[in-house]
Amino acid sequence: MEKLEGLDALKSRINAAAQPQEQALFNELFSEDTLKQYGSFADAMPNHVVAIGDTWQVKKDINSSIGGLTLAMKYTFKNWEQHDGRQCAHVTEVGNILTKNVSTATGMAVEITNGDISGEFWYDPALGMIVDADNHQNMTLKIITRAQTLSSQINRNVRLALLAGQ
Amino acid sequence: MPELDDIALLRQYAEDNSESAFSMLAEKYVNLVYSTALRGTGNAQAAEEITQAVFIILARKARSLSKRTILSGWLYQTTRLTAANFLRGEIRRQKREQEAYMQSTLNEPEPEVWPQIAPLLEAAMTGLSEKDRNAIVLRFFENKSLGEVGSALGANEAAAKMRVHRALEKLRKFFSKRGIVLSAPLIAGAISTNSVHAAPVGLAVAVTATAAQGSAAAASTLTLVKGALKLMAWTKMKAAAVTGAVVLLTAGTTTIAVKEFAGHRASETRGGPVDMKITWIAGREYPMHIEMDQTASTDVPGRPQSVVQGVNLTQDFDFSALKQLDNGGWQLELKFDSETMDISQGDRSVMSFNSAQSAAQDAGDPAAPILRAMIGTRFNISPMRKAGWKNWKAWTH
Repeated sequence: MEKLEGLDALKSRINAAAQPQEQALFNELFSEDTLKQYGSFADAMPNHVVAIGDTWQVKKDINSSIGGLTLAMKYTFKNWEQHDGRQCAHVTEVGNILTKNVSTATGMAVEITNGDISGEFWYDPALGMIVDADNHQNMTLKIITRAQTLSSQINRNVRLALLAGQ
Repeated sequence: MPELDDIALLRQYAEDNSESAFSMLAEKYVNLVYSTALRGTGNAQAAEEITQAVFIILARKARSLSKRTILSGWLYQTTRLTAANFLRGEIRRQKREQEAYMQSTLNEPEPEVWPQIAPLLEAAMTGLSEKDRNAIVLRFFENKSLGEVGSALGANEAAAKMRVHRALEKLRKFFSKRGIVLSAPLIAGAISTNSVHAAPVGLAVAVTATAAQGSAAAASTLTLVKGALKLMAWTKMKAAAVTGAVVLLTAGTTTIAVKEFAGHRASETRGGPVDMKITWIAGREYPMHIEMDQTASTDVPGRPQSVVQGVNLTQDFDFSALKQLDNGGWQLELKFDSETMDISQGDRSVMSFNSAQSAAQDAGDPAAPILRAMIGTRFNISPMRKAGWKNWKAWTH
C-alpha cells in the first residue's frame, strides 16, 4: 500500500474529470462528514453496563451540505435474542433528525421539518460488535429552489450487517 | 438476454434508421402499452392515442436509453406517466369513478380478483422501486421465467425469486391497506392472466408508421407527447437535486457518533446485564454490508401528481483495526470493496452502477468512473470518542 494523498487531494483528482452534477454527487457520498459516520456505530453504545429494560439517549450534531442537523435518539435494551445463530442483546431505537440551521451552499434550501427514526440492532458481546442493524426513517422536507417551495416525503430503510465469517 | 436484444433493436433503429427494428419492438410491446393505457384511462380511444404517444417518445429517446434499460419496464412507466398526463384535470372524475367501481365490486358476493385490483394496480406499481417494478413487469406482465427475470435484472434465479416475492408482498400490502385482502399467489395469478391483452388489430403497424416513419400524428397526440416529455425532463431535474441533498444521511442516521449519556435508569433485571462495548481486535478485518432503499415523493405546485424518486444503494466495505490510540480510541482503516447504486426518477433510470461489472459496461454512465475510483481506496481514520475525528488521510493501492 502506497501513501498517495489526503482525502481532499483525492477528491480534487476525481472531481477534475467530473461534471458539476457528478461532483456534487461524489461530494455528498464521500464527504468527510459522511465517511465519518461509517465508523461511528460504536457510539450508539451506552457507556456502562446495562440490563434489560434500561434506556439511554444519544444526541449528535451532523454537518451536511444542506446545513447543520441534530439527531436525537433513545435506545432501549429489550431482551436477549438468538439472532443469526448468535446470542445477542436486542436494542430498539427511536428518535428524530431535524434541521438545526439551513445551508444554501447547494443552491437550494432544504429543511427537515419532520424526521422520525426508528429501528433496532443486535449486539453480540462475544464479538464485541453490532452484527445487524435495521433503521427506518420517515422525513418531511421543505425545499426552496428557484423561487419554488417543494414538499418532499422521504421513506428510507437502511440495513447494516456484519458479514458472516467473523 | 432478451432485454439486451430490445436495446440492440432500438440502437439499430436509432443508428441505421431501421423501421423493421422499430416495428419488431412495436409488435412485441404494443399489447403491454395499450393494456396499461386502457387500464389507466378506461377509454379505448384514449388508450390508442396514448400508445401512439408512448412509441413516439420511444423513437425520440432511442439514442439515450441505457443498454441496461429493461424496455418493458421503461415502456410501462412511460405509459403510466403519459396516461397520467392525459388525465390531468380529470383526476377527481377518475377518483369518483374508481370509488364507484370499487363500491360496485364490494357489493358482489364473490368478486373476481382482477376487477378488484385492476383500478389500483398502477398506483400500487408506482410505490415500488424501479427494480421491484421491473421484476413484476417481467415476471407477470410478460410471463417470463424466474431465470429470464434474473438475467434481465443482472442477478441469478434465486435473487430474482426473492425480488419478485418481496415486490409481490409489497403489492399485497398495498391492496390490503385499501380493503382488498388477497393472497400473494392470487394477485400474481390475476396480474399474469389479465394485465396484458390484445391491442386493436393494426395498432402496432400504426404506431410504427407514426413513430418510426414520421407519418403525421394527430395534434392531440403530439400535445400528449410534449406534455409527457416535459414531465419526464422535469422529473429528472428535480429528482437529482433532492436525491443529492438527502442521500448523505444514509450512513449518518444509521450510526451515531458523539455520545451524551442521559437518563440511565435501573430497572428490573430479568436477564444478564451487559457492557455493550465495541471491541476491536488489532489486525482483524470486519467486512460489512449496508443496504439503503429510499423512496422520495415530492409535491410541486402546479403539478397534478407527486414526483416519485427511488434510490437503491448497497455497499460492501471492510473495517480493519490498525492500532489502539493513547486516548482509548482506535485507528481504523475503511476500505470500499463493492458498490451498487440505482437511482430512478419517475419514469426512467438515472443511474445504474454496479462495481462488480466490467468497467466496459459503464459506458453512458458518467458518474460510474467516480464511484469506481472509490473501490479499493483505503481511508485511514483516527477517530473515536474522546479524541474526536481528525488526522484523515486517504490511501490507495
